[in-house]
Amino acid sequence: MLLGGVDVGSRTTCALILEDDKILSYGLINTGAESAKTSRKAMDIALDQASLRLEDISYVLGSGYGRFLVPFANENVTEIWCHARGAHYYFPTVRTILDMGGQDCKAISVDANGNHTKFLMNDKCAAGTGRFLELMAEVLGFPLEQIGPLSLESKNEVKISTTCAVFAKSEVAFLMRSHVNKIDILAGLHEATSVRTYGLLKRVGIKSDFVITGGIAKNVGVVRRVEEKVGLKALIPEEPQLIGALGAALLARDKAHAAGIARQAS
Amino acid sequence: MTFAGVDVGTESVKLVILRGDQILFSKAFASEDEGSVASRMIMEEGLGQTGLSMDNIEYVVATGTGRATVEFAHKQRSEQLCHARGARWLIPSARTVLDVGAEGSRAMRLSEEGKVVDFAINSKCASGTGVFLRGMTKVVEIPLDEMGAMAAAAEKAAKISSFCAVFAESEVISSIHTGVPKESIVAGIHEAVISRLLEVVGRIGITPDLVVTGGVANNVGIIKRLQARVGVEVKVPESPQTVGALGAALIAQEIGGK
Repeated sequence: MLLGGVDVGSRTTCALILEDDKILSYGLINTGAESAKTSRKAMDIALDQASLRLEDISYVLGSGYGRFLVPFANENVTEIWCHARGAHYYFPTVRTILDMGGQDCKAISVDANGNHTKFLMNDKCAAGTGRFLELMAEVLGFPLEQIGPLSLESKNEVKISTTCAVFAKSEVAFLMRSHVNKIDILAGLHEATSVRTYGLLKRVGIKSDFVITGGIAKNVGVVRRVEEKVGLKALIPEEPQLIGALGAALLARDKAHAAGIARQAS
Repeated sequence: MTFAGVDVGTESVKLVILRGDQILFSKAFASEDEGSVASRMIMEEGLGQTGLSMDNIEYVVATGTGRATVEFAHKQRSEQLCHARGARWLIPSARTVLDVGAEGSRAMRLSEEGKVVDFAINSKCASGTGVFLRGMTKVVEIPLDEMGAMAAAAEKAAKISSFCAVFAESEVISSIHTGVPKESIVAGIHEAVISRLLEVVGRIGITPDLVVTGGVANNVGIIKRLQARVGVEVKVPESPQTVGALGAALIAQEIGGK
């Protein structure tokens, strides 16, 4: 059976096709302004790769911030379920998930079956999210994909005193005018992000194994710092941005099975 | 005897020169310079315009986030004390003073005698500050004062659900894309600021009269819509941005005049 999962995040959209237990293909693109078109575009990429048509997919679940904007989905679910389920697929021993996305950050506790038992989220404030680091990379003039590794090269981390992304932008501009080393500023910004993230994790409770998903899982500067604070090595999926869509597809499989069984029974 | 108050904010510096109950000089200007430079510049201007020299100034009190950088100040006082003092002098019926500046807001509750008995501050988050409003002028492409007037006139306000200034900007961009009328968006932006301000002032409660000071008090959209939300008259002094400096000058007079 072919299943689809679509995770429409605030910044990135992922559509994934699952055949029973196997990931066939996925499409990962920027969300942009028109989520409805974006979700279809991501799905078309995945369909193309697997040489399939949308009609071939038995059941599709939409998830994420834009989950109501997946017109071809049979149903939609919150991304918490999906992240728990997707992380459990790769790492059955997972008990704590940190999902760091473009505009939010979630700490999720899961049980042995991959069901979430507790979760906390910051989606109110840009501090501690991908957006914060993206803004700071802009101010400092570094490409986003370089900031993580660069932040680990600092020998003299600067303490960033503001939390708010808007104020931090001014603080960084001021530090740059005062000729403070940009790598040291970058290190301070990564530290600030990690501190906020750790706060969220502590409140949800940290148990081994610890998995990081979402776009920021690709930022080694944040990952190392969070690992240091947590005291655990983080497990990171090969493509951390597809976990939500994978979880949605796995849940689509459950739903399809349940519907199939119900049909047989009646 | 002549006294001075200097208020070094995050974006602007203000000076008031006071003799008795006469304001000889009162000015605010935006400055990117470091506080020590900006405060010296405005003092030179003040002295030049009043024909005074530094020797003629008996006592100087500095306030604002950059108050420690004012080299010629004799004493420093908090923004809470200075704004309360200045507002009370201008509007003697003031019992609640809300100061809304570029990077923060503070609310003070005053006793009948004008003493600060309680206060609440937001200096951590850009939502509910002047910076938030100015950032939005770029998004909606309307100058600040026009935006204020538009918000004052608008009937409907589009709901802005984001708390964070960064997220609110993205939300406004998508509202513009989906064709929400600009008047409603602009009104919604002002309502969002007011909601944050009410959280701050809500921590101490509003006792009339409510006086609003700081640069954002010049925004008619904020004042008109705030008045509608709180249901009591909102009073704004003539030059709300220099109220902190005035308060500092009054405190200088009190200390130095003895």
